[in-house]
Amino acid sequence: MRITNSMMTATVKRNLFRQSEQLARKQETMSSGKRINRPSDDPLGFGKVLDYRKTLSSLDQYDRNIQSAKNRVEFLETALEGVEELIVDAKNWAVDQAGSESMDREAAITSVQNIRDQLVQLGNSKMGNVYVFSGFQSLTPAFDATGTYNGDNGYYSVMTADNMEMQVEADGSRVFQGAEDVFDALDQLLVGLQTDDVTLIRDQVDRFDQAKDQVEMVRAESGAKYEQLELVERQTAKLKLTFEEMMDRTEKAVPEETIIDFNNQELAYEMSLNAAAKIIQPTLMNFLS
Amino acid sequence: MPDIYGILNVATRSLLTQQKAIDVTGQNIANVNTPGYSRQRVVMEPSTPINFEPGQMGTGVKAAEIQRIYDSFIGGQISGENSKLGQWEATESGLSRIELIFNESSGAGLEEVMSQFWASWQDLANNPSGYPERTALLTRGQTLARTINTMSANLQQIQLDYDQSIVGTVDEINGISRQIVDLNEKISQVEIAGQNSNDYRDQRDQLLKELSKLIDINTYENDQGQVTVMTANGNPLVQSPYAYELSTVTSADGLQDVVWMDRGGTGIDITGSIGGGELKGWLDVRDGFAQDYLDRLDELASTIVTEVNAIHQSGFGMTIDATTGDPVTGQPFFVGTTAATMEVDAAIAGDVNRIAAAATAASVPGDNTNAIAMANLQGVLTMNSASTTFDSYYSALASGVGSDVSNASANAEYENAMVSHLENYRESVSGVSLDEEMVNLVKFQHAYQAAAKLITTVDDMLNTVLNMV
Repeated sequence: MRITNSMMTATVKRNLFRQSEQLARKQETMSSGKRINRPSDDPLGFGKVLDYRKTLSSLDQYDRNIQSAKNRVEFLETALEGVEELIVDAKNWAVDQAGSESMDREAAITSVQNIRDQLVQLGNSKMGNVYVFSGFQSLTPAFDATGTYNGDNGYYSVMTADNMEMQVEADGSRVFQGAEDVFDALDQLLVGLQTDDVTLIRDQVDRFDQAKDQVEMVRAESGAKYEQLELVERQTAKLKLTFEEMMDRTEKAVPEETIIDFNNQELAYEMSLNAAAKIIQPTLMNFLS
Repeated sequence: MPDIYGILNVATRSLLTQQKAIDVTGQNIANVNTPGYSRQRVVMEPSTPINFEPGQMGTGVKAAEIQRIYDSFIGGQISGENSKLGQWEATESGLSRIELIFNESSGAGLEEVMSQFWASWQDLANNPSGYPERTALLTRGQTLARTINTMSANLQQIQLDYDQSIVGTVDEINGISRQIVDLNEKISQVEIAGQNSNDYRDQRDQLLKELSKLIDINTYENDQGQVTVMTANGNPLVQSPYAYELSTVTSADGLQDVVWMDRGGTGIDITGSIGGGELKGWLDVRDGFAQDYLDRLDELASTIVTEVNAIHQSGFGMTIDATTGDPVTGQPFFVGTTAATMEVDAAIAGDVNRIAAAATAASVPGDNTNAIAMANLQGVLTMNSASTTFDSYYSALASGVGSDVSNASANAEYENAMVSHLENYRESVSGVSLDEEMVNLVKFQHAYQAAAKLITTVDDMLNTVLNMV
């Protein structure tokens, strides 16, 4: 084949362009640490990366939801613990005052009155701007001074995974006025104390026990919810790790491989430059005297 | 009658012929870097001999013609591949620009914005009456709409840019056609006189090559050396002595269609039948790829609007409707039907408490059922006749763009290699080699020197004869 000067220069140019383009690619991979820097680098892989990234951001959101639900359950637990203590106090006063001799009625009346006030207050517990015992009526106080429930039987629902919801108790009437209306029991106790009606006082002891059971049942439920939330939290964290690993495997470049590739490419580029310098320089004129 | 003066004639002819050869060598050296130049050579042959005793005697050399070294089949082949190269290079450059719109390998694209939008509904579900959550949701909704708007606007901008390229390319084609007609004239004039029109032919071949990169062409040459150039549907661009114009007309969608103008000035639409060249590449990007992506983006936007609104309108907000006295319901979240027009409903933008988190009027404000239903929409098979989620539809679109780009790059690279290969072959036949020219130069110079020596010898001989007297 007849080889001409422009063939040589064209070949040199073409090779240099190709080598430097590949070198630039390798450089990009090395500096971004990623194998896929644009959709065309690996169309299928790019689609997968988008899917993984979506899943990861959903998992992050679920994690936030779970944290928020855990906070809510913890808050609920604190309030219910207070409620239970108050009911026990009330029961103790009832037992104490159920004796036939009236002793220290005035102090008892004040205390029971206080207990009732505190219970209403606990029933109206607010987490942020939300009344946690008002059901869906979260901006309305659950109980008024007379102990009337103004909420509904709504609940607090939280997304913990795709199409999975967990419901947290928010129905104050179930806690305070389920089988046993604790406010009514307190009112009756007060009437008994004020009218010196020992039978009436004694009748309330059992009701307080029942009210306490009722609260304990809700507390047990919350405890179970909390454990469930922690379980889902751990699962979410594990899933997150798995997906992060899958994403890395698809998207990330292997550093050792990248560096070796880059060095090879650099060498190839330098060799083309070297060859070009040797080929382009001499012509017959260098050798004619 | 060959005599001593006959020898002088031989020497003179030799000098003149070698000088021509050196001249042509000079021309070759001068054009070593001229694109499309074919090397030339002087064809030397012995001049007419004279009958003499004891036999025929030569009368020296003459330059019969100046020839260009050329393979007549390679031109057509290069044109064909060049059309494909032009097409794929144009397609690749267009798609690479489009790819930027869909490139979210570092995040911050539509995929992420969509994820954030759905996540905001979950945040709202965690605190259905929260003003900050509602405001955040509004912002995310606006960001989603704006991101889709921007993508659509960018795609349309690319369509408009390539529309301009198409108009420019058509002008370029017309310019080249006219030049080819001029060269046709010159070539036939030179060749009717019986000479080779080497340089004009090189120029014309170069123009045909440039033309073939812009649009697919077929060419043939008549017996006067004039070339006829035909393009899409066999419509001629050049049919000496006429050059036919291409032109553009604005079509119904506001973009330019390519028309071929006949001698009477009537335009014939050839947009769909252009088969190669940059023109085909620009048209493919504008009417094919970009339009397809736009359609799919529109489909995504309109489905998001419909689906989100269906759920939102069934829910209840916190604002109390002045006429009914109940919480507002039936409120759309988004308005618009295309990627370009999608936006958050103005009423919601003005009052975030109109966002419907609750499923029933009675359960306002603590109920988050509707917000959760909305968040679940992310995983619902809403697209492609209920077979794909929003996210998968979009990631399929983005990875589709990626494979279109990588396909176009592969084709462009292949055609590039083909054209280089053919160019190399052409160069191998027609290209100027400086080494070769230097050898020729030395060769012709020596011949010239020898002829001069002949004259000196004849001079000596004549002196000898004169001194005899």
